[in-house]
Amino acid sequence: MTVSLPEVTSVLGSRSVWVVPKASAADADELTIADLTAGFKATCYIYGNGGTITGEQQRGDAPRKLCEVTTRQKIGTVNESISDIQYSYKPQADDADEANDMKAAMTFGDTVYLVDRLGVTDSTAPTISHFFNVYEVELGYQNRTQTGDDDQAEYSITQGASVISTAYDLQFAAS
Amino acid sequence: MSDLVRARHEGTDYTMSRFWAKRLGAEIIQSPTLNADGTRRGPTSADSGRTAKPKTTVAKSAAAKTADSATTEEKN
Repeated sequence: MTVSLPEVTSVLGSRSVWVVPKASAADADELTIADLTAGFKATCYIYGNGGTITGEQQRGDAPRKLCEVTTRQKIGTVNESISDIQYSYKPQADDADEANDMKAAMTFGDTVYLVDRLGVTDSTAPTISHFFNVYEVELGYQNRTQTGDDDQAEYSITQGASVISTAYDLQFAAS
Repeated sequence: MSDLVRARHEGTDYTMSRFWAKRLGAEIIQSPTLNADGTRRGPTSADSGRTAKPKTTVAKSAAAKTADSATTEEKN
């Protein structure tokens, strides 16, 4: 019997992240490729795999009916959260410096869209045929951190955020 | 939140960072970024100062209306 494995997509170098201001669109599905281009491409600032969404599914036991001898589980609410984002910055420069663009784009208290594209080489320009995941988030405090304690460590900012809404597998119009 | 400003972009006033105001070419205006209760101030109309209505298109409104009427028919 022939074993036929489904096609898979390598993670390495195939994730791109853009930061787009809330002023660009009232809703995630109204974003366009032009909005992405006018936004800020953050891929080369972000370390590791930050900014991934988790939907924690709550479950509960349904009230037992008189005829029931077993417990029924019911699906409850979903608590969406986003993992901390760690990105590089230049401590000895102000926000006008290109090295601090990500720091300036992610100002504490601002609401932005984080647009995630998976499975396409980062150097590929976004097009109307690509699928995007969009996370509308309110940005938290920018903690000054470092990537580690070894001789390769770099200064970084680690920032949490709260999720306002998520939308998956969106395709954007050109403009 | 001291780095946030009020900026006018395409007829609507938004609370945003200076970075985005500059990048979008929005005009920074002297207006509070927070409401009286300390919450973040949402988008307002540049003309009236009232809460800005979400922008929509004819196609989107029609789709919403169709979906609404379909739900009503199901109820009936």
